[in-house]
Amino acid sequence: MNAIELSHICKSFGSFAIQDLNLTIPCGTICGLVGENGAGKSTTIRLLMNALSPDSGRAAVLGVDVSSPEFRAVKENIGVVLDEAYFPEVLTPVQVGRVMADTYRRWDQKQYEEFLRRFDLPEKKPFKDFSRGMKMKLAIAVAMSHHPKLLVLDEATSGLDPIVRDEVLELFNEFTREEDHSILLSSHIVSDLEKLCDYIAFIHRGRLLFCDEKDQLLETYGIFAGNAEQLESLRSEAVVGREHSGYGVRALVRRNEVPNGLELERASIEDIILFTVKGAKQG
Amino acid sequence: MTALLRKDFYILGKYLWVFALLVVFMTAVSEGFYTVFAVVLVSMLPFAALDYDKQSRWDQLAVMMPYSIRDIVLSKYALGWIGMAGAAAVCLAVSFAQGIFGHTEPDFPTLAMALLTGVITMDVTLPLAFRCGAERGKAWFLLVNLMVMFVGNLGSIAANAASAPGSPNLLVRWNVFLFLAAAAATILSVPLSMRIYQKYW
Repeated sequence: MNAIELSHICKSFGSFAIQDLNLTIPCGTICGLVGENGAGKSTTIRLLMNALSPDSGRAAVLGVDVSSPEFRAVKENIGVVLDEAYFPEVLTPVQVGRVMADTYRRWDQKQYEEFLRRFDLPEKKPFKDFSRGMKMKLAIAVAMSHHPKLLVLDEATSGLDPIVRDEVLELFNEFTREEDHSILLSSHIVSDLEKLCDYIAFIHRGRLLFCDEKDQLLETYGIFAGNAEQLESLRSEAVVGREHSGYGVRALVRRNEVPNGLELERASIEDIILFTVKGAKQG
Repeated sequence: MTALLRKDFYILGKYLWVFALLVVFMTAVSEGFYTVFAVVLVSMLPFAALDYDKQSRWDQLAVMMPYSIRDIVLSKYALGWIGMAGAAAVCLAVSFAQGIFGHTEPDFPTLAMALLTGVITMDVTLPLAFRCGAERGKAWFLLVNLMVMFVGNLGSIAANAASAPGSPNLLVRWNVFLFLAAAAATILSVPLSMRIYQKYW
């Protein structure tokens, strides 16, 4: 079963549109959704949580069509963290816990309290007095305390200091040790995604440019560094994107399209994304 | 829906105390106009809760949680109903307390009229609040206030009428009419708010 399935989703907002979005995330995997500001990451998350209706196409989560009445029950199995923790600011973590205990049938109060201790969150301090990092930690604690099978995280690690971020990433890693647990994580921080994800989906101006296994991406692409003449001698299909500098030219190339023996540097996910955008602009 | 009501009561905790003191004060100093005014004033609680939801962007999170639109909308109505019932209970308690000292007796017909007027006020204004959002809510607060003033005057008239010989029947008839109007308004208002919420939030 797929954790998330978006097929041919289109949604227009006038000047911006999600165009023919197809995204499949198998159960038991972590998928990183990456893209610049305004690329459509949050819109994609809202579409798959049925907080927005698409103009066309179909979205299914954990095997259930999100527009069907059955999806409400499926939400019991989904933990959501948005780019900010949208809890009313006067609530304390204790009060948030009580509200969530009435919200989720499988709410685990002990686990929630354990998270509060683990994240060192004060139980009776109003939410408005929390730092951004504390707010995000509370949101993560809430999202994980009702035994979800899918975590949908929209910029959940942004605003966290590197130590806490590492701790949270480890928590997400622990979560996916259960084979039917999956995560969709949107982030600007590509290094987080590279560390954590099995799949990387890259969205640019409302279009999904790729969604592939991370290891596959790293094997497929390499970085060519040389001069312009050397680059021009390569087949045009080999070059995804290029950048010129005073020292020569760097380009992202497809390893299987370049001559054997050509020395290539290892491409990071960040390289792949940056050069793909440059290629899209140049093309 | 319990979760959403609990959340609203936590949010409005301090307001509720202020409202309760206001209701005690208004009931203690006068009858009729102020009783109606105090109870109808409490029907504005859902506006404050909606405002908080919008400010904290809770509404965006709530649609991703296992709440139905019916739960979200109905919880705001229930908040108003519970608030008004609480205000009416406070009014009654104050009246009973005053009765002990021989000052006044509880005025049930006026209180019933206040409750029914509050329900109708809420039924008219909540769909507008769901449609226009918290930003423009203040304008609707003003409109509601004007309505409350108008209805408050009716309360005074009703209180005076109630003291005239043979007039209780008139007040009972007026309350029966208000009850039917409140029932019809609620039957129309709740589904309308649900449709508006689904479309605009």
